[in-house]
Formats: sequence, structure tokens, C-alpha cells
Amino acid sequence: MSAIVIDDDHDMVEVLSELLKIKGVDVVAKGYDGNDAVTAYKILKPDIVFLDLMMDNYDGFFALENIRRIDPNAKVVIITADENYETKQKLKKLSPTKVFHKPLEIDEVMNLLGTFEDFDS
Amino acid sequence: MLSDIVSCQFDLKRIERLLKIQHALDLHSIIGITDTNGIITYVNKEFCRISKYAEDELIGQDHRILKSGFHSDEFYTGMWKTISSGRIWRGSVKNMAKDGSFYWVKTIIVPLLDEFGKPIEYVSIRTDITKEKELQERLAESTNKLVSAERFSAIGELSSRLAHDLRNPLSVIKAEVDIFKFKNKNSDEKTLQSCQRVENAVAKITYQINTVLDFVRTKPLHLDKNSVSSIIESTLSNIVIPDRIKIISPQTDTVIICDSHQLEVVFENLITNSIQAMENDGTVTIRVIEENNSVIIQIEDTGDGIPDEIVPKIFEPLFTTKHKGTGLGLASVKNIIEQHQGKISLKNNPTTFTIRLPQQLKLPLEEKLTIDSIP
Repeated sequence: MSAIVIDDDHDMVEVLSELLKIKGVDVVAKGYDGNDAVTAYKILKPDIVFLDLMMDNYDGFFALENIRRIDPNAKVVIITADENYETKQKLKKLSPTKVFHKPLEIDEVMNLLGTFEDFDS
Repeated sequence: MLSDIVSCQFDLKRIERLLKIQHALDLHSIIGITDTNGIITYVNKEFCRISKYAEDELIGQDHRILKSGFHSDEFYTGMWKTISSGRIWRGSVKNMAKDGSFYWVKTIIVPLLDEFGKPIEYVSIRTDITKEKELQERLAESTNKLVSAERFSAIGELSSRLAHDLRNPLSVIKAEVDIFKFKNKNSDEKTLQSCQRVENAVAKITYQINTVLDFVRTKPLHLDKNSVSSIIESTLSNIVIPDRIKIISPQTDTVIICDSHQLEVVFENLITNSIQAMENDGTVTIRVIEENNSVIIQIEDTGDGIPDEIVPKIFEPLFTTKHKGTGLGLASVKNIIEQHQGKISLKNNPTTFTIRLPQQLKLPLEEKLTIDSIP
């Protein structure tokens, strides 16, 4: 299973990528804003996108919207530290595959990935 | 002779006219006369009505009988200085009536002077402005509230930014611990305990951030028809109830329009408070009473109660008597209840929190819109 990891916090990108690798996920690209996410998605078509929301310049909303345009069934998992009501409402309209809140429970992510694999096979 | 009669008749007419004018004045104004020592020599009906004294209780009394204690001594000396030198004084005065209630009067005091320009007596004409003053005070109060609401929303915004910025590094710490654990699967007990402590610390900070945010962020209500006792049951299933605590659930039930999740937060706070107050030994009784168009929910415990001196403070944000409390529990409770246009109060002996909620909650239009938009 291939994935890209997008977060403006570089440490977060590194640590999440490492964690995913341990769990057997192939991290094919790392990015630091919404534009990186869209570009990486276009080129690499990963199975899954791990996407932060609040990023400078191009944010996660931008990325989600544009990735959905490329592939309405793309699996985009939002990992955010933002729990604002407005954010939730705005996000709902863009129908992300799943939303996780920071600090991240890696087991929850793995459970989710498990359901994807079942789905694929 | 004839001219005398004419002038006499003329005087009578003048007096008659003056009396009529006085009558008109009496209908509107509070009129009093004092001598140069401030002893009351005349009051009209309005004076008696507003001060709630009878005429004979006032005549012969010092005017200070009406002093409210609101104004400074300088205020009164200034007034006396003005009128005793023969000048007119104008101002607004807060007085106290016989029954201890207060009233405001817009006042003019006119000294009547002798031929040498010295005052003989003072005529005061006053208008009741109590209602206007009350309005002014209420306006000032609501302006204050508005200002603090604005400040609060600024704090809310700041806090959610801060929370966001704290969760990111927390996430890194937590993930690093996860990685460490994977890489060191065969670590000794001590290392595993260290990891556990880091994880606990992260969890604690996360919890703290979330409780503070819950409080500073007023969430819009998700209204629905709910059974009160089912909300209470669901709350109880989420609380760890110690063995020696007995919970008596409500015997009655009623349906109410409310945000069930928010009310669960309310009940959870109150019930856990009770359990803690009873030091894990005692009984919590929950009652649901329907009254007119309100639902009354009472949570009573057999604890020692809340000391009188802190009762007025318990709903204030950041007030706590617990070592590990955030001081936001009851403040959140009050917020949620007020959002439901309800009221919460506390009574000791036995310690009872009483919540009164409207059964058919109606919200302003704009809030309704956000509610409708939630699927």
C-alpha cells in the first residue's frame, strides 16, 4: 500500500512516515503544503493521502478539493489539530475519507487501513 | 374705593390662577419647602407618594431623613453652599424612601430671598427619574456584558490557536514514543514504564487542552427531541461509579427539546462532583419534575455540602477547590444550561443542584439555520 504524507510540520511528516513504514505502508512522497499534495497525487497516484489541514499558502482544504477532482474515490485521510466547529462543517462538504485528530492514535489509522485492504481484495 | 375693589378682585383672580397653576404643578412635580436649617415645612402629595412618608411624618423633620447614602458629603455641602448663597441648585439626587427603597429625582432648589438677598426658605421642585436611571444602569450593565463577551470570544480564538499549536508537537512526541516502542520491542520493564509515563503525560495535556477548549468555545446546539431519563442513563453508563455510591435514577420521565450530548456533559459534571464530594460513599438522587412548560432536574447528594462562602463563586470560570480541577466544570455546566435558556441553582442541606429547562426550546433564527444544516 502506497501513501503520501503532507503536513507543514516537518517533524510530524518525518515521524508519521517512519511510523507508517514500520507498519508496512510504503511512503512514496512527503510534502509540506496543499500544493505539494496535489502535485504528488497527480504524479504518483498513491493508494492513500495523509493530509494536514492548516498549512500556509495552500491548505488541506485546497488539496482535498483538487485531489477529489482528479479522482472522486481517492482515499484522503485528514490528520488535524483543529477541532473547530467551522472547520468540521467546512470539511464535511468535501467528504474526506476519514478525519483523525492530533495527537494521532496510530492503531486507529492501522484499523482504517485494514478496512481498505479488505475493500481492495 | 372702587379702584380698591377692582384691585382686590384682580388679586383674587390672580391668586385663583396661581392656585390652578400650583394644582397643575402638584400633579406632576414633587414639591417641598425647607427652612434655612433644612427642616421640612411643606410637602405636596407627590412628595409623600414617592417618599412613602405621610405628610405629618415629614413636616418638622430634617430633609436628611431622605438621604440614601449614595452621594458623598461633598455633594451635599456643594448643594448647601449654592443655595445658602442665594443661588439656584440643579442636579439629580438618589433618595431613600421610608420602606428603604431608592428613588432618583431630578431636582431644582430655588432659594426664596428676603429684601437683603438672604434666603428665607428653599423651594425644591423634583421629577421622578427612577425609571430612566434604572434603564441607564441596565444599559451600562449590558454594555459591560457585551464587552466581556467580546473579550471572551477573543480568548476563545486565541485558545483554539494555542490548542492547535500544542497538539502538533504533542502528536510528534506521541508518534516518536510509538516508534521507539516498535523498535525496542524487547525493552526491559523500566524502559517500558518510561514510555508509559511519556504517553500518560501526553494524554493529560491533551485532556487539559480539550476541557479548556470545551469551555471557551460555545458550540452551537444540536437540538432534538430527547427523553430526559435516557440522557441520564447514558451519562451514568459513562461514569465509573464506586461500589459504595448508590445512584437513585429518576422515577419519572419527560421529553424535552435539547442537545443531548451537551446535557450529558452537564449531568456528568454534576454527578461526578457529587461522587467526589461524598468521598466515594453516599447516595445521589436524581429527580425529573415537569412543571408548566419547564422541566426541572434535581441532583441531590448526601455529601457535606458546599461552604456558604464559596457558593456564590462555584459557577465562576477558573474557580476550583480541587487540586487537579480546571475550574471549568461548573462554569461549562452553567454555559450549557444558559444556552438552553435554562437556569441552574444550588441549595445546601441536602446539597441539591436544580436545573430548570424550557420544554419547548425556541432558538433565534440564525442559530436555527446552523442546526438545520446539520444532517
